Formats: sequence, structure tokens, C-alpha cells
Amino acid sequence: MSTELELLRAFRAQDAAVDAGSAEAARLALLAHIAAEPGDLAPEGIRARPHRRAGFFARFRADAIALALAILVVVGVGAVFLGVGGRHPRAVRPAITPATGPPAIRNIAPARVPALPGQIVCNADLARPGVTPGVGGSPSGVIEVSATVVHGVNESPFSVTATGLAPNTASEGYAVWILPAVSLTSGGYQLIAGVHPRLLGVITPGVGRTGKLAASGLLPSDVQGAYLVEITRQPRAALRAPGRPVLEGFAAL
Amino acid sequence: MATDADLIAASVADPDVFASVFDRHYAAIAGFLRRRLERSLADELAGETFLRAFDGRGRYDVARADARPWLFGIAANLLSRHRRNEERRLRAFARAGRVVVDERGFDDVDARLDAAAAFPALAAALASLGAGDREVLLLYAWAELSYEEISVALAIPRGTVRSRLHRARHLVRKELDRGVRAGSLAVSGDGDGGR
Repeated sequence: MSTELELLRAFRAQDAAVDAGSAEAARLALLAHIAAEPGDLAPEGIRARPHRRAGFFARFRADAIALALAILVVVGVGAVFLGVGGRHPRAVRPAITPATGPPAIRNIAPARVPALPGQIVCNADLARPGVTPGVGGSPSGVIEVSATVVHGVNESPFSVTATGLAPNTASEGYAVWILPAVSLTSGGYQLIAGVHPRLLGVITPGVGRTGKLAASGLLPSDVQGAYLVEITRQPRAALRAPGRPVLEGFAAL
Repeated sequence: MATDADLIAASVADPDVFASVFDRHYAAIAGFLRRRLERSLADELAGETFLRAFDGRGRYDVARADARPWLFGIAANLLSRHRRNEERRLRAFARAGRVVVDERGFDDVDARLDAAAAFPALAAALASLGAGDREVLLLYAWAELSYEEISVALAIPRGTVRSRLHRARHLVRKELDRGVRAGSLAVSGDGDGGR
């Protein structure tokens, strides 16, 4: 004898378990969606809400601001277009680095990097592209990140160490980039397509004859999650995109 | 262990944390939708549920530790645009005659055979319910939400949940009784009470 609820629950049991493939696809889509959220935009619910009675005026004001911004964008694009002497607009690439120049990551090699303050939250091996990190080989490196609180603010100091690097030339240097990735429930990581790499900094001074790198810095506050960390070698004057990766490895920063 | 509310609150400042909410609840949401829609559409809506949840996380009431009612509510809202798909699927079940029944949840062979024979009638009964009544019934029976949680999920008063559930169960039982008279089904009792 069965009640309608027992039958319904039996009906439910007919379902095959949700397969890992579709869950993974949905997870990747969500992570890409998360990565695409502008960092400076708080979710709607925590934005200051305009007073209900000010609805029309608030909307009018928003429209006016949007119009003003649009005009500024048009004027700005025009100025850039003219400024590059009429080159094709596609030649104007968005600057990834701030206008003040790329941040520097201070290299103190051959001295050793002091122990990071706080609790170590990430310790990931870096290896040549195509080489499994942590299995040896040269060059090789490690990125380490800790979590600490300084004056009530969460900070994430990091250190990058490497050996076996080729010494810098005058025109080329090493830079550290991070590329957003996702950690897969099945293990491992996968890069998120279509998201800009981010320059953590340029190794300064460069790597000398010892081939050693020992540098430390602070992660930007909005960097958290899975990333491919790349140490690249590239012309100092061309830091808009990662150069040739020398060492790389996935890390949960 | 952090509650869902903890994770959602943390994800406002650190969006990546929201992936943990996904990891906890995706299977339940996708399973619920798959029982009701074609698989590809169900998977699409399950993914969409979490995208919407992420976008709306700032509005989440952190006093509610368990996010399931919120997530099922979003899923139900998305599903409401695909009622025809759901009803078409239920009618197809109803026409299927006897179906093979999973052994889980059945203590003996007779109960399993009863259920196998009852499924087509059950599917027909579900298809005949009003959308609101069916939603409440399935959130109760399949998602295992309480009256209070269904009330939150669908943003309706608890009394409405109770009355819809009562009506839905009554109609389903009536349809199944009709099946008993037409065939050899055995249906009885009022089942469990309200949670």
C-alpha cells in the first residue's frame, strides 16, 4: 500500500544522478560569470538605494550621467584615434598596466626571502611550460602566499623564488603574471578563456649571473582564487601582455 | 562548518566564495529540475539558477542559514517559463504504461510493483494539477522543503502553502484512486503530516 507522497518519492528515485560532466560545465560557467563581474561593482543589494519617492529624478539623473559618460567615451575614443595618427582603431590596445607604470617586485637574490608573516595559504611549484611542477628540472621555482592582518586589514604577502634562470639582458626582464583559472572538482585546474592576464609586477633589479630570483610583494586585495602564475621573460618596454613564459604553475592564491 | 548564509555573505566581498554554494547545492537543484524537464533544458536552468543567485547574493537574507529555499525558489521561477515542457513530459510518462522502478526506497517486491503500476497515473495526476499546486507539492515531496521553506521559496504565505499542498495531495490521491478502480493499484492513507 502506498501513499501519494511515497509514490512521488519513488518517482524521484527514478532519476539518474546528476553526471559530473554537466556539473563541471555549470561550475565553469558560474566561475567565468564570477570572474567577469567588475571588481568595483557591488551587488545590487548592497548599493545605496535611491529614495523611493525620488524614482523619476533618480532615473533621470542616471540617464543624464550615462549620457555624459557616453559623450566622454566618444570624445576620448576620438582623441585617442587622432592621437595615434589615424591608425586603425584595433591597433589601440587597452592598457592592462596602470598609467603610473608597472609595479615592481623587488629581487633580493642571492639573499633569501625572509619568512612571510602570517599563515601560509599557498605554496605552489613552478616549472617550465610542459613540465610537471615539483618534479625537478631547471629552471624551477616556488610561489608562496600567506595571509596576515596589518592594522586591521587583511593582506596577502607573497614570495617568488626561482633558480636556473637565464640572466637578464639590458632590454629584457622578468615579470610575474597571473591568469584566472578554476579548480576542477575532478582535480586540477583549467584556465578561464577570455579573461585578461594580470601583471603582478616586474622583477627589479633583474636576475643576475647566479640565475636566482628571490622576491616578495603584496597581492592586490581582489586577487583570490585559482590562477596560473607565470614568470615571463619579455621586453621591458612591452608589458601589455605576458611574454614568453619561463616558469609557470597553477596556484590557489 | 560555515553556513550557506556565511558563504553568501562572504561572497559579497570575495565573489569566488560563491563557488562553495554551488558545490553544496548544484546536485539537488539539477536533480529537481531534471525530474521535471528534459535533461538539457534542466541542466541549462540549473546553471542559470546559480548565475542568478550569484547576481542576487547581495539581497540574500543572511538570517536564513540554509540557502536551499532561496535556490529552489529561483529554480522554480525559471521553471515557470517552461510549464508546457514539464506537462508534455508528464503526459508522456502517463502514456508509457508500466515503468521500470528503481529499487531504492522499496522494502519489498509488491511495493515496487505497486509503484511501477502507479507511475503513469501519478504522472497524469501531476500534469492535471495547477502550476502553483504542483510546485508546492513537488517542493515538499522532491525538494523536501518544509512549509516554512516553501513559503520562503515561492514568496507566498505559509497558509497558502498549506492549502495548496492539501489540494494537490487530495487531487493526486483522487487520480490514483481512479487508477485503482481502473487497474490494480493500491493507494491509501494520508501519509505524513506537515513538516
